[in-house]
Amino acid sequence: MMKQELPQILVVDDEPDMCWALDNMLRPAGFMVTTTTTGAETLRLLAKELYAVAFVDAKLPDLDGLELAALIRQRSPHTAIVMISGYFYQEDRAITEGLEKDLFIGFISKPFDLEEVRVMARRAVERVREGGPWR
Amino acid sequence: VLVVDDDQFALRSMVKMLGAESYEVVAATSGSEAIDLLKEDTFDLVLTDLKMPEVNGMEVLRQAREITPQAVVLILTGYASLESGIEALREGAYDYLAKPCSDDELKLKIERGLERVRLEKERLRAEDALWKSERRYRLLAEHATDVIWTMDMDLRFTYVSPSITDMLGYSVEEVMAQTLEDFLTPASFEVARESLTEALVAVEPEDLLELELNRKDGSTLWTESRVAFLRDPHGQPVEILGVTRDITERKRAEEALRKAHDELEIRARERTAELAKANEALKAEITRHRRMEEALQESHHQLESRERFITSILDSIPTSLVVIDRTLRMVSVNRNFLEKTQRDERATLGRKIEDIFPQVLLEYTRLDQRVREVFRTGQPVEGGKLAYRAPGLPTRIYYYRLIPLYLSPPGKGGEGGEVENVMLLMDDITEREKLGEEVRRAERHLASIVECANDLVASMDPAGRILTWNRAAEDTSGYRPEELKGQYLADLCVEQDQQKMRSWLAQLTKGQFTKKSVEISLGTKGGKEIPISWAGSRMLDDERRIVGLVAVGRDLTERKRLEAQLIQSAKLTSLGVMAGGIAHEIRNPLAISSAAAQLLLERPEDEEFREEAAEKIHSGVQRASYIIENLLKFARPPEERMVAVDIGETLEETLSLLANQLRVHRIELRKEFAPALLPVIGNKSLLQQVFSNMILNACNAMPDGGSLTVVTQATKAGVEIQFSDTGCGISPEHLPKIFDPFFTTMPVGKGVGLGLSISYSIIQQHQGTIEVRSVVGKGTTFTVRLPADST
Repeated sequence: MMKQELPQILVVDDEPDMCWALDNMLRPAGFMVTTTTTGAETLRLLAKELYAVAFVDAKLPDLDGLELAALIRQRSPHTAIVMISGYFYQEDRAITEGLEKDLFIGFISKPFDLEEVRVMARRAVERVREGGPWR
Repeated sequence: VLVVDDDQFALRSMVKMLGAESYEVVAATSGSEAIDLLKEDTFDLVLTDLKMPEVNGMEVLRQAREITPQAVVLILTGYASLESGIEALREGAYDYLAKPCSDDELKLKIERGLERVRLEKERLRAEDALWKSERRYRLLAEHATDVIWTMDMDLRFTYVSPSITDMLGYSVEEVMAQTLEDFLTPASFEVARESLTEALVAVEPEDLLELELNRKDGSTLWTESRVAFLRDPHGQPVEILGVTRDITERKRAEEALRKAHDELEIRARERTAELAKANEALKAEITRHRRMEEALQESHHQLESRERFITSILDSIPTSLVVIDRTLRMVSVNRNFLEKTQRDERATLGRKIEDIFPQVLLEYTRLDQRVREVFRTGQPVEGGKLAYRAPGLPTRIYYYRLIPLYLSPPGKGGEGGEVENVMLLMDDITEREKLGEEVRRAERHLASIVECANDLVASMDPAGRILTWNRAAEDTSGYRPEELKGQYLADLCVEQDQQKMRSWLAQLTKGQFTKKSVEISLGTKGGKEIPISWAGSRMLDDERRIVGLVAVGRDLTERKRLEAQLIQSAKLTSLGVMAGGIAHEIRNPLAISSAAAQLLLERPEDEEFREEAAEKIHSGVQRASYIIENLLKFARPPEERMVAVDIGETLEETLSLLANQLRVHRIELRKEFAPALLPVIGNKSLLQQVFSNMILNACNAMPDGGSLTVVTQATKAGVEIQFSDTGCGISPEHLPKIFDPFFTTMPVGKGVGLGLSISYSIIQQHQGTIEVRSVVGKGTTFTVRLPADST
């Protein structure tokens, strides 16, 4: 498998340890992982590289996670987004609305299961390959 | 228009044409018929054929000229003979027309002829009017007694009415031949000339001119003339018009009247002088008499007024006054006595005192004996109270005195003089007695209020020694008032507050006290400490001297308990706000630990990774437990004790609890902590509550993020902590209210508005201050100052 063919995943979380954890979970499962701790850096990276999936923390120091998700959708329509949060719950309105509107394809609450993360990443990549998650 | 022609055809065509031109047309077929019509009716124009059988056109012309000279006659001649036409003109025809003529020519001639008739008619009418008017005026002038005249601008007469002859003796012709100067006396001529000159300049002529005229017989005559100018359309005078009236009679009457006046005046003056002289003599006589009379009356008046004066004084004093002689009869009484006893003066004077006062009273007061005593000793007696009831009136209470009256003043030591009368003075003291009773009642009333009051009431002398001590004070302190009489209030306070009480009372004495109450704890008999809020005032007498102090105290035990409850509940409220942030704060390290553990299970053989993962797990668990610990500390009810508190540490702990809250609000935290601050004496948990409140307020003020700067620094007296946000600020009208309980600008359900009021009271408990500065749109700074631990 060529290096370029590995699906590119972007992890956005303000805690470096959280980035470390997600990186270590996704890399052995066959993904290329890039991590960042700010929204601004995220937007810079998106401009340079095409990512299949972005894991976005709901609370960031410079930008709201939900806002960032909307910006990613706009700038990189082929990137599938997965929300991660210790603040929100699956039932929270912000999350159910985001899912309904296809702003993101999935939600993971902290703390999370290793397999949960990998399954979510694979599903996202599949949907992108099927011709984009956004119909 | 009368049209005459023997040719029927021509006649009809002319009538038709003229009728179409809307003239009123009458037709005649022969000369004789035309003449008949002329006699019956008036025509403006006659159009006649010249050659007709029997009566020809010439005859019609002649008749027409005679019958209606104003009508114009137009001649039609078929011969085109100039001669007959000219002849007709000579006979007075207006014009002639040669047959055949065109309709237009005929129309034009007729029109011109009619125009001529119209002009002629107008001229006649004007002439007639002029003639009539002139005639009217002339008639007026000829028959008036006043002379009417006109004069050209060279002062030559142009008309004088015949009445001049009656006035001056000259005929009209004689007058016309002379000049104005000849008629007027030289003085009058001057007057006339001047006034005419003036009148020339002024638009309106002068009023009336009085002029003296020369008569033909050489005598003179006074006249009055009204003069007016006739002016041309440009306002230039062209003629003078005047009416002159003989006023000799009037002048004569005026003269006679004046003379009569003068005569009368002279006579009157003469007579007045005579009278004045006689009057003068009489006046002098009267004055002499009057002066003598006045001198007599003066001395009489003086006596009378003196007596009246004394009587009026006696009558007006509000004291009953009775003069008693040696036989105990009443010699004189004043009005007050008569009023009070409801007696008549005649029925009183000369009576003995036992006839006036009831026997019981005399026996009780021994008034008669006392009067005799005064006669004997010559010494006044201060009697005492005396109740007397006049018939029909309620009983009144008097204070009476007896005073000896001497015929001649006694020598030194009261010798030599003999007591002639004794004066009984009775002052009505009923009201005063009643007032005293009311004061006693009010006193009892107030005393019962003080006694029943829930607040402690202590009255003290100016030095602070207790005088009274009410029931509430007794109940609270356990001390009975008898135990405390003469003790200092300050000595009853707990030891550390005694000095505070002393200085507060000293301030109160000086009048420096403020309305603000002071909180000083009282030590009870049972050894308990009761926090009490004291308010005080000083009692001043009429000269504003301090006669005592009053302290009113309220037991704060209950309020303190409620306050503590309130603080706790407000804390729980902020805990609720924090919970969301704390959840994230704990779930993050938990998520990291859990992920690390899962990865560790997956790769147990990777030694390097194992170490890394274990470290992540450890630090994550530590972080979570630190947060929970702080939360527990915060939630725990505060300890009662005040201990030395490190402000820096307290702030750090508070900030760690709220770190996520700040992150969620995207607020950048700047810490500028001074190293090695002195500890303050306080309650850490309560101070933490204040700080968290400051931080949460800052978060709310910056919904779109911003920065919060927390500064600590040492001050002379202790520690100063500043919280500065870059938020929306507080509007000036809200600023004074932010520390009020339940004041909030938050939407309903978001906050109850207790945070700052509780912070305020906590800082007050620490003897500190809390201040706020704010600029709308720029941000707000809260400054908390706390005194350092002095020990």
